[in-house]
Amino acid sequence: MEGGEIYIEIAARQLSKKGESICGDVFLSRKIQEENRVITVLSDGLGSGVKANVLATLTATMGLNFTVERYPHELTARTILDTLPVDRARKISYATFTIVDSDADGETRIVNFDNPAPLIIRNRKLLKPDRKRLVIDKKAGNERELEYSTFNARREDRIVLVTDGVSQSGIGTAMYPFGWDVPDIGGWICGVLEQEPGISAADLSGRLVERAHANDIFSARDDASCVVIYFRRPRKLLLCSGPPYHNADDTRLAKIVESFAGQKVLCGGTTAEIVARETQQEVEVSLDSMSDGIPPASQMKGVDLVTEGVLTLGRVSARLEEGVNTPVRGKDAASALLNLLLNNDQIFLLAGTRINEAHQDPSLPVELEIRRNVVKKIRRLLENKYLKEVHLDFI
Amino acid sequence: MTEKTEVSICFGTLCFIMGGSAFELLSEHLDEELREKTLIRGMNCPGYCNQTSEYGKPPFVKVNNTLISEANLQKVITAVKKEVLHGADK
Ligand code: FES
Repeated sequence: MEGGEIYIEIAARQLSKKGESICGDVFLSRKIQEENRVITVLSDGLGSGVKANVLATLTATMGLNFTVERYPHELTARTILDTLPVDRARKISYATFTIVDSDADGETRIVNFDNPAPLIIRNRKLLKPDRKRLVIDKKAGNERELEYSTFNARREDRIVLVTDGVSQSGIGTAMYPFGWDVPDIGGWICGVLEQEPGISAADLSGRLVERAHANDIFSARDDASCVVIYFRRPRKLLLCSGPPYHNADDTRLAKIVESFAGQKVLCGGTTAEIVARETQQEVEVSLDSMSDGIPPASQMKGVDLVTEGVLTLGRVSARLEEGVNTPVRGKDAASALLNLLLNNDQIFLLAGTRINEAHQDPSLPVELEIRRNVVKKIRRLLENKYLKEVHLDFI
Repeated sequence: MTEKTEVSICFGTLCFIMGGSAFELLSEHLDEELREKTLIRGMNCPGYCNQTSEYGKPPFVKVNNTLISEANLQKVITAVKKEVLHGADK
């Protein structure tokens, strides 16, 4: 490993063909904790809509599972092709896929089957590792090639995968008569990186797909997807919510907050007051954050965000469940917190376990969830749906 | 010059759900003259809600040194008016 701890951030953005409510491109990613591997698959199903989605899901799932088991790539490709139904009109069984399999130390294997060539970017230049080719389907003159390469990722490298909805965006327009081809995309990404060297995978994939959409004059002619895999220093966030069970632990809580190297959030008025008292800071409720049904955020020196507790966390958990993309728009405290959560990789949750008696009153107009349960739910969502590394502790 | 009347609104969880959310727009409910003479700020739960026998029920708003329990816009505006007039007397 070069340059210390590597965190692999993976994010995808997808846009369905105009008029389709479901995307025919499928992106899957899985972290294998025990082996310290992360596998990402992007597949483009034949056609569009539900049918394409089913084909792509089948392809991506098989690709992912075979890779987990370290099947040879050739076998993976053949098995997938043999399994997919043959399209009646086109007389082919068709699916494309790209698989990226990375170890925690950066060693990465990339397999590409009929998707636009994956882009590897290091120091704002395209990196071209040696590619090996393998001919797969020899039947009926229908030859197709599988390409694979291996390289050692370093910190700050990025791998960008796109489907042809991106590389063919803008076809026929004056700007890109032959589409936004892969070298152009590479140049565009390097340009973005020049402006924003630390842009997150989520933001970069979002910007790229938006750009492809613009190339098509905002009327997508095909499903378009972009996956960005970004090898970088882990970004850490500490979220403390709730007063410690024992008053004696107040100092410990404040010390943890003070000494944490990363971004910090306090959720809960009492929690904020405790930390403020122990670190001799002031908490100031800012009336200019629009509430949108939850109490406004506060400001405190040395802490990135201070919000109310259970209502805000409840909103955050509901929105994580619905699905959110960065940047989360909205001036309320929950949106601010969502942005912080999504822009960090390692999230340390510290839940205070002292129960606020007044919250348990059955005559309250809304039921206040127990903090511990909301925090657990947020943890589960961040881990499973947003692929974050989450640590939960109680105090 | 007279000092401004200070209105502190509790934005703690309980006060907020018991109706305190309405006070976010408090300044829009004050006429211009009153608005100029008041300073509105938010505060985190000062703990009144845990001692209802002593302080009454949430939501709580403090107008200068007077604590208003079960506050609503009407009560707060009346209290603000009273304080502002009282200040003018001095
Ligand atoms: S929430 Fe307002 S006093 Fe506790």
